Amino acid sequence: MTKRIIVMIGVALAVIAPGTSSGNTELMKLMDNPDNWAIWGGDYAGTRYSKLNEINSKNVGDLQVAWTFSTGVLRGHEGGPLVVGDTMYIMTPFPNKVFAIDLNDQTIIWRYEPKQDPDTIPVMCCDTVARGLAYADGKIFLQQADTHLVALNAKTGKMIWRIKNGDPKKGSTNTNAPVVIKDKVLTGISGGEFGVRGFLAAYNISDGSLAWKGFSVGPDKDTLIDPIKTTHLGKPVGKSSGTNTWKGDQWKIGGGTTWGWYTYDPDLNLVYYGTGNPSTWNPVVRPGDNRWSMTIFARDLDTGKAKWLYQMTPHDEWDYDGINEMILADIKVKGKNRKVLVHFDRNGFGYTLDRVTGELLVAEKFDPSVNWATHVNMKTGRPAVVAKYSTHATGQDTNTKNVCPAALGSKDQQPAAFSPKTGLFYVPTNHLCMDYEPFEVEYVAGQPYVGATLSMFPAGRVTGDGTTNLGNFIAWDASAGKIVWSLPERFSVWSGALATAGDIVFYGTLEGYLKAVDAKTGKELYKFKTPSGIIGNVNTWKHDGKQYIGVLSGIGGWAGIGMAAGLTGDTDGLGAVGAYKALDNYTQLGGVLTVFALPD
Amino acid sequence: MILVATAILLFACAADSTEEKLSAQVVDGAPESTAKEKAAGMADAGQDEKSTDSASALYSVECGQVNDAGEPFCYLDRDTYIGWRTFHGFCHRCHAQDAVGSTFAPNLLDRIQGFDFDAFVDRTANGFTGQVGVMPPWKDNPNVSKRYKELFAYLKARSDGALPRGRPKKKP
Repeated sequence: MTKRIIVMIGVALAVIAPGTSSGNTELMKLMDNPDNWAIWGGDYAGTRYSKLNEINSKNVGDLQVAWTFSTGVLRGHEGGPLVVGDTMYIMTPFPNKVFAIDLNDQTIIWRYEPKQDPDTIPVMCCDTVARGLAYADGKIFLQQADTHLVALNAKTGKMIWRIKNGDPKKGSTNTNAPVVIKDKVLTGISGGEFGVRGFLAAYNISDGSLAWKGFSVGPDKDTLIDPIKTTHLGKPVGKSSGTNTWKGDQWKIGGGTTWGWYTYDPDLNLVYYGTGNPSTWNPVVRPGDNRWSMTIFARDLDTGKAKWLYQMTPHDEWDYDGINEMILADIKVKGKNRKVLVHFDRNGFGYTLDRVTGELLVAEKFDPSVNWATHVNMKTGRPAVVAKYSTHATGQDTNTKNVCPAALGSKDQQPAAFSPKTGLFYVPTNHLCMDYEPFEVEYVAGQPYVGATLSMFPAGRVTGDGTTNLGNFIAWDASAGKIVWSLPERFSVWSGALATAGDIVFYGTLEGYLKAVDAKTGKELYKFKTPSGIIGNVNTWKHDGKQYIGVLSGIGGWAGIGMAAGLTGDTDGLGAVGAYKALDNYTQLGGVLTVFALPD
Repeated sequence: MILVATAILLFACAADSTEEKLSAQVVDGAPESTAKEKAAGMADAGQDEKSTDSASALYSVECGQVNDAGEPFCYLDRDTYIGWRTFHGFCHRCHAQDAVGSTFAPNLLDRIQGFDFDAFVDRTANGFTGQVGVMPPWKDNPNVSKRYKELFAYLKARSDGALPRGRPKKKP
């Protein structure tokens, strides 16, 4: 009985949904005006590209700090500020404070600090990061760490509604930025290391009621996968595709969490995102492809139904979560104009797919050190795994050595940028390898369920090229699948990039530098050391006729751990491999927004 | 050159004070012994008896020449090795590889110096709120709660300077 009622409500909502799209129309208007930065990626396509060109390759060297703002929070600051008209909105890591700042005089219009259970903190796997807010319909949407999704009045900061998206006691948390499309706000879930089963959920922006929820793994009714209509590389996926590549009911704690970024194509009405690792890092105990973990999803916005899927890393053996952003662009591939989706995966492959059909067009390594697979079979879409780097083949309680990339991936969540002017993608990357040893663990709800040891070190130790850098910032040709230029960085580049019509690209470094480089050549044109290491995204906007660049600094996150990787002796930092000094020697904690502009 | 480091610790332990398994072994740094293997095996099965008032070698580390990759070459006794493995399966996510600490969890090489075994077990089992972070309680996670002794041995070996950074090997 209860079940039937729920189903009926679901149908009713689905019918109402397409008609009412105030959030969509308003937000699209805001995004069209480059004076705003109204959504995490600058636009629905997630290009992180701005048409503003007052700051450009000729004058960026004159950039100065215009103003700064301390968030008063010490933990890792990912994400970036939103700018809507005269107001900036900033979100901090746990406790997830929100500030609305008047850009006319930099005063705080309102602030909001949720009361959250501190027990949430320890179930967050890698620091208490948060990746920002969403704006639409006169509301600010706040996705709290404890999974509460909150709608605030954008003018006053007063709470309008609040719903619960998961249960932290069972290991569910949230770090992602929500996204508003039409009359829905979309959010995912974190907790892959706790056996949480991932999903993408759409809530109605008017009252927070659930419109639909599509799980990554499980029965077809949970995944909203149609055995016939949903395709994988052009072929129907068939019945029970979310359970039949799992042993027994392992899918119930299957992972496939959805803590990355979500993009949208209004013409196709499709939402794109990726799913994370299957739970337990020990591949030996979970045979099969573990579908649909490590998968690119294209879902219909109105119904949540999956249109197409592509699993990048079947049967993950290395923790290569597939959650990184899906950038939507229209480019030429092999001489043909294509609507594509470009994705730089943790597994080290840069994928270009036709976003209409899900056809795989390009899959090439975007870091030369990647060795776990030789290539991707373009017919089957499967990676050709190298046996000696297969942690499953090597087996439980055995160390698989020198696997590249490390579990952090060749790139993690830090979003790349796309410039339609140059046609290039600008990608912040990691350059680390690892030793990985799976071992047997017991599952207990709400407890980490990892089952592998990791040691990470600079990729140069495996490639033997004498390099010691832990990161690169690269320009990528997604049509050819080739690196155009690559800038070595001492540490992983863990900051989201920004490309602009001024022919420049911005990114931040873990030492704390904001850097501007020439979009064509990669030549460094400007750098400034902000108060702390940067793992936030660089954004831009215009206020009162002047262009600004803004970035949150505040070291932390998983990056703060990767940092110490590669030191084998406690004194190495001072010795032969002096290129590595602990991050401590470069920067300390503390969240600060730094805003840059040209001199008057 | 082979360096051998061992540490002896006296466990004076009420039989019901903690959940951890203490094996009744007396090791003085000499290469041992079936007794130890047996004890560890029994610990795995969760069946060994708790000792009262027994002296135990906390860890045994043998470090050899630096290998090709520039890493020191260290062998650990089985328990300490399991401690290393458990640490890098669960604890390293916050306390970082080799327990050197991260931006949100302390360097345990310093921190462990102020802890005796009981205090370590208490903090690990029950968790606590620190200056920057929150340590979760691990008592309900058998993957960790069965390994307090091994973890403590690993951390002491690191903290005492007996074990350098990097991946150790299990003593053959």
